[in-house]
Amino acid sequence: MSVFNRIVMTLVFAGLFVLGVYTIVYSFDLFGRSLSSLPISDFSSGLQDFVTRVEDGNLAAVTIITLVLMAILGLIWFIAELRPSTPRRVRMGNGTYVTRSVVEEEISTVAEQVPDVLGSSVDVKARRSPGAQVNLEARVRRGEDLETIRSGLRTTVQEHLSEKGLPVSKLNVKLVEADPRQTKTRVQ
Amino acid sequence: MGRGRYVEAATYEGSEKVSGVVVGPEDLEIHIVASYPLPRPIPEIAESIRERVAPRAGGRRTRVVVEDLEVGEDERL
Repeated sequence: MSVFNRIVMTLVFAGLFVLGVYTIVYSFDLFGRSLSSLPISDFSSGLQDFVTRVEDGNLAAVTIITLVLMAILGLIWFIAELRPSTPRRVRMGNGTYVTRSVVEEEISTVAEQVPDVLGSSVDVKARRSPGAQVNLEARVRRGEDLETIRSGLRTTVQEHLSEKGLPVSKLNVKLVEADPRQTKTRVQ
Repeated sequence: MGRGRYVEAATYEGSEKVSGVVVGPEDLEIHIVASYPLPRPIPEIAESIRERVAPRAGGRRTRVVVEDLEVGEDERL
């Protein structure tokens, strides 16, 4: 969100700068240009007409819908801006952190040691509270008992992380049936 | 000591550079790499470092960041 905001604000400020330069040039009649020569009479009359219709409550349905959508978009943007950004590192305790890559590597290593798991991919998200949210996707052969593997994998990962002291607040395990010829490991 | 993943974790003082420690006006960050076999759980190691460093941090908020886990030579076999 902050990158998007920076881009928007850079464009807004660039636009304001250009408008400011034009305003000074036209206000002080510099370089042979004056405000009276600006072709804005159509624009100003159109704007005046629009404001009059707003005051009279005589707007077209499309215009009302557009204005409501703009208001909703602004509200969503405002709420998104108020939300604190996601932390980059996983909090362990008071003033102690571990990088997400450490948690990812540990989980990936232990998951691939579990029989029946042919490969894995791990996504770790840090949270403001201690502990990480982990999404673990493990690839297994077709026709295996998925529930047994899932339960065993979950227990093994939790035990290993607990032993190392790496805090996980939520562990989502997803099993994907895959062709062993296309996985990292063919045989366990 | 850790060196940072995307931005170098270091402090420059004069012509000297201290890697793994980032000293700010109000914050102090220590980046470490833990090595297997771990004598204690990772949070305990980080907390013990923080407890040792915090009294000498001049009132700065002290943070310990575990950047990596290193596997020893014998562990690779």
